[in-house]
Amino acid sequence: MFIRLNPESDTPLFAQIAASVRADALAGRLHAGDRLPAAREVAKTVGVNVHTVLHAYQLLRNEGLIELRRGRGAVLTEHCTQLALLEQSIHTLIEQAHELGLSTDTLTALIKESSS
Amino acid sequence: MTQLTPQLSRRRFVLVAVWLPLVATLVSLVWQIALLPTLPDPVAIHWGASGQPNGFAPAWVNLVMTVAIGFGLPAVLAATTLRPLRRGEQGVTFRFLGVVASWLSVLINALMVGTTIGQSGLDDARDAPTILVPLIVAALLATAICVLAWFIQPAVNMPARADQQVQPVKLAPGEQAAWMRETSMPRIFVIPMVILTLVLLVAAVWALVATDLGAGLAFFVAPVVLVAALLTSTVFYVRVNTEGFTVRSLVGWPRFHVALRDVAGVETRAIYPMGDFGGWGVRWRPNAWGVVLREGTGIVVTRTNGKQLMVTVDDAETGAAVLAALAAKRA
Repeated sequence: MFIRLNPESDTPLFAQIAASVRADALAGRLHAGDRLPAAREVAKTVGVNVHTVLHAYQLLRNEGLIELRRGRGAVLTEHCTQLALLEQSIHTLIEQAHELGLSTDTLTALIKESSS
Repeated sequence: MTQLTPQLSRRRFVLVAVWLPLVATLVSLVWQIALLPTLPDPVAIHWGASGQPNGFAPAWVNLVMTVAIGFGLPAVLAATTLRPLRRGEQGVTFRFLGVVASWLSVLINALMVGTTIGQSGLDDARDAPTILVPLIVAALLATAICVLAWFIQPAVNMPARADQQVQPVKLAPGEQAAWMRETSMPRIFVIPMVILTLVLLVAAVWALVATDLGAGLAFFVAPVVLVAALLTSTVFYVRVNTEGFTVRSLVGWPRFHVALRDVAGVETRAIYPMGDFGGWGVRWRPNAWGVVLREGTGIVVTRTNGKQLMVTVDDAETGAAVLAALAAKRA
């Protein structure tokens, strides 16, 4: 599991952790059926509170990306594979946006607008 | 001059680790079977420290043991070694294993023949002569043959495998990164060990409760040792963070750690436990420790003092990239 954290960012830590897991899934570093490290392990490695990690895991569970199973911990669902399929589309979109001179932030705003 | 190819290494290994034990076992079996009518019933199958027989069984038990240990054991050894050999790995480890296989086989087979000859013509197995003489003869014969087995195998070394350069992860100012993965021994290795442990545990409980062998808790030593071995060598957690590179087992020990300031270099490399370290698990070779629970790409960390730590783990490229970035950032 690869985690990037920016303590200065406005995004709360738990959201950044969740974003890292999503990025891993998108990049194909994590696959459906893989088990995420125990929340305690993540917390100790990164230096955050265990509850922050649990919050991240719950967020991912609500999104359907992981399942929390007794005894096994957090396991990635098939959703993960579908997310990886999205990667190609995302890259294409970013390329097109850059060709048009749009920053990624602008692109994000456009996506948010379109989906509302 | 025969070409020193991986195929030659493999063929010669099979010669000393499979064919030689097969021939030795057949010779020994035939000899023992020929002597069968002259043997007492039961025969002596175990000797005490004094050299006098103290264990007896029907003659067929010896024949079974001859095949099981004289051929079965080398066969198992060869089977596990053949996979890396078929892939073209070479090296002194395999040569050594070929020697071990042939030595074991000749020793057991010669010993079986020796003890059988000793009891031929006797009415009572308790009069069987000391095991010392057949043991020494068997050992000498085995050693002579295993020296042959050494020289018949070609002397080659595995060519040094290229380390893959690692691109450090790009970190924005103020950004922190970390990486964690679990690495474990393939189930196909672990499951037989677990089954063996359970069997030994059941045997120990049974010995304690249902028989009056008087061995007490002695039989529990083996399963306890196995459980300890399983807990400390089948699952490891690999962690890259601001503290450095940490590899620790399921139960916390053994634990290997390289602080960021001690990281001189980080690479990824294809790691083959058998060829590189002579086996699976937590291994050592001069100047390097390896947590090589399986083969595959792994992270290789070189310390400032020159020693290395290698771990086979999934997604090694990312882990190495993060470690390289953190180490550089610290500098």
